[in-house]
Amino acid sequence: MTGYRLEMKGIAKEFPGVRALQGVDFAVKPGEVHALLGVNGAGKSTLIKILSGTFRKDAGTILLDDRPIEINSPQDAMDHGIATVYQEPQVLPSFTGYEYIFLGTETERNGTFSVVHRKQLRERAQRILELFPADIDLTKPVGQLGAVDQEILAILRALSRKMSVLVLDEPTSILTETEKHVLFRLIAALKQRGISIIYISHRLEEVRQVVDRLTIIRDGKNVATLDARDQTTNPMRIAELMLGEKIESIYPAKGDDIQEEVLAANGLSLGGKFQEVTFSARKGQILGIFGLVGSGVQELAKTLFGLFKPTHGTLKLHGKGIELRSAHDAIKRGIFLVPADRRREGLIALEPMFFNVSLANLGEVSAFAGLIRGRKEKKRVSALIDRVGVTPPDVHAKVSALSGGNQQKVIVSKGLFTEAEVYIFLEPTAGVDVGAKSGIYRLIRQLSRTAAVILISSDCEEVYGVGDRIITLFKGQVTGDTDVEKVSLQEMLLLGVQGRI
Amino acid sequence: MTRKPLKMISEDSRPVLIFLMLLVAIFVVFSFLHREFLSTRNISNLLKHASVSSMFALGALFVVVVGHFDLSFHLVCSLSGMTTSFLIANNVPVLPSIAAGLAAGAVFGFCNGIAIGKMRLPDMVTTIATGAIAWGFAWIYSDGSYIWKNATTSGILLLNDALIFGIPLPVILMLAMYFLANVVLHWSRFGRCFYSTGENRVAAIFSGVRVRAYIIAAFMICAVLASVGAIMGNASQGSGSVRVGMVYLLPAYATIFLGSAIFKKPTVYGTFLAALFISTMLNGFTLMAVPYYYSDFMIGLVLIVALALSSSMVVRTRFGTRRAGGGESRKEVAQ
Repeated sequence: MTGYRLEMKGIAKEFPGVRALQGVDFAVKPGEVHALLGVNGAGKSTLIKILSGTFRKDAGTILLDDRPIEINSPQDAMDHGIATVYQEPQVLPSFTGYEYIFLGTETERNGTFSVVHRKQLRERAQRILELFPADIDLTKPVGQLGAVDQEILAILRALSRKMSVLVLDEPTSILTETEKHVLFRLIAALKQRGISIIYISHRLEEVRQVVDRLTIIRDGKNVATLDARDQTTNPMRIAELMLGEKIESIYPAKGDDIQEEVLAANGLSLGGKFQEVTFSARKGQILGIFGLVGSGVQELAKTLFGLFKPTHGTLKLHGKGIELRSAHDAIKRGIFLVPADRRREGLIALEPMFFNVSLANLGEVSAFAGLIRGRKEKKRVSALIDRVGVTPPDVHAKVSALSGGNQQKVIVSKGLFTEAEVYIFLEPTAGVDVGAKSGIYRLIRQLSRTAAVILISSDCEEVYGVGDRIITLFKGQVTGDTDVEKVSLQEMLLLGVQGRI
Repeated sequence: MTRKPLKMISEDSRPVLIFLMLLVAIFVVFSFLHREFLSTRNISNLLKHASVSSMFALGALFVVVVGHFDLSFHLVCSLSGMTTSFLIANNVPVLPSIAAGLAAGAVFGFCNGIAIGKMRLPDMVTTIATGAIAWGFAWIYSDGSYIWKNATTSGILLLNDALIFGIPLPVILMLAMYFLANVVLHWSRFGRCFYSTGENRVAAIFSGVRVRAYIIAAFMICAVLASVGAIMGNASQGSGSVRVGMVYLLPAYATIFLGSAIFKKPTVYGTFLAALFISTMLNGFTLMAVPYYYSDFMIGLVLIVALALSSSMVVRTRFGTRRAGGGESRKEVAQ
């Protein structure tokens, strides 16, 4: 007997170009809340997806109550009593609470024509709910409930079946402060019933509120497993362990020739998404903005690109106030966003490279009545893709066939084609393999010599490694704004994940 | 796409060859089946029919290119045709009457575009509704009966009968419209925007393409070209009929998707060749006095085969990604 409810040993998983997990060990005791921590790309979600049956492991063993089990599908995981509740649980908005809890398990004998006894279901659901410190109207349609209630219903739904291990993936990312405490009370109640909870979060301060032990992984390997009640387990130490010793040398040299201001924001706010963002983006200086998912950084990027209308604050381009009404407007004024989701937001996948590169500024290569001057177009596109180093340098190549890094370069070429003066990069290396990352960073640095560059990312190392001036956003509030030399990476991470050092 | 079509054809001549073979095959079959088939009179009839029916397909092509469907143009055009006939019957000169008819079509196209491009209502259901509304209006002029007053004296019949250098005017109109559409969709910057709107709406928005404007434009072009077709159709029949466009819905989509199946993408040249093919087929059936429901049967078959053939590229990517990405894009790009 090892005393563990669940043990994962030597788990390895490889994706094309990335060794996501390289022999990770992870174990949870009965009735324990165990946090799994790591920066973006450390391998947390890969490990959880292996546990929940979304991915298959390449190597390693999983033991449940000391017996080896195989998990090949989400159904397998459920049959073993391993339940996962994701950030925004998938609910069926028009179902009532009790219908949702028992969906698929309405009756003992689940025949096609079995009758659903609503009253009976309602009572069963109420009995489960009464075990926990939560008060939810189970007769209301799920879509009318708040975020925390939906999440609790998703947990109750897991409870209504066999459950011994519950995985909570960033459970508080969309919850308010009071909602959080409702969830924490539920977690405490689940613990008492002997259920093991794997708690994944970026938010160090709440981890210490609810967690018994924590395991930190980095680059697909175990770094440490700590006792949360140990005095030495403080956020700074956790941050150090999450980040490792040194920043790798994939980042280009810092900027040293700061020139004139191009784009400035003053007190920019968007509803509940972000407040009072003030910055000055200059040529020769990369402005890095770090914030987790839900911190408002995504919305900030889209606001700067005219896709959202700010509720307060002003934007100035070359010192003159501007109002952006659309992305079309932003591009016309020389602001270009390199979006996070290349396939969906960045590229017309069916079309060749020249079509994609020239799309944002067709007027440049058009003659009378909008007729496209094909030869001029291809010449200009060809020069740009040479400059950024797309391979193959063939303007007729279909963009869908290119690698992630090359697709990113095609999108940058599209911005260059518009002769933009402000480039906003949103998560520029998401889904790009490690080898291609440094190429993109060099390109960003090169762009910053002639244009203002704003790098917005939830990858703290990237922001720290590439940015010259750093802003951190936490839950929509600016928690840090400083030159990169004046802050350590650990401090920056803490500002972004818990709002203070 | 911007490569000159001649060059394109020589580079990738297979689709054109397939069409020519299909056309030759169908000509051979029908000339054996009916000796009238290759007569000058029949060929002229065939071309005139093709001119009207290909007008509907050309308009609907724009809507397909922006990733939508219009199920109203065959009814909207009835309102346009009746408006024109009604004005002519009330002694309004021909050209203003035609202009008024086209304007009626444009208004409905604009409404479709606003509802679908701006308000993001579902395209098929919306256009079923707007079509019904237009159809209802079309009946008001004459309670739905034919309008032939002044038809012979006003000069509207010239639209069907006139010959220019021995070529029937409808054929010249068809060639002119197809040439213009080819310039817009394949040689101009606007074509790039139409295609990118349909292929990836979100990426188009991120590239500064005003996708709403292009969707509205596509629906307007569709309604106006259908109205042109209806007025030409009425001219060939010698009277204004509320039912003038009814038979063109199915052949229009069969034409577009046959062209897409063979050229791997909805194009003006593909639509043109497919229109010739389908009109030839229909003409052959008419000549042999095959009951009309058999031709519906055949065209339905052509449409489904074309859809199956093009499913890998055109339908799945074009319509698949739009559906999948459409809902999210509203969330993402909501302003």
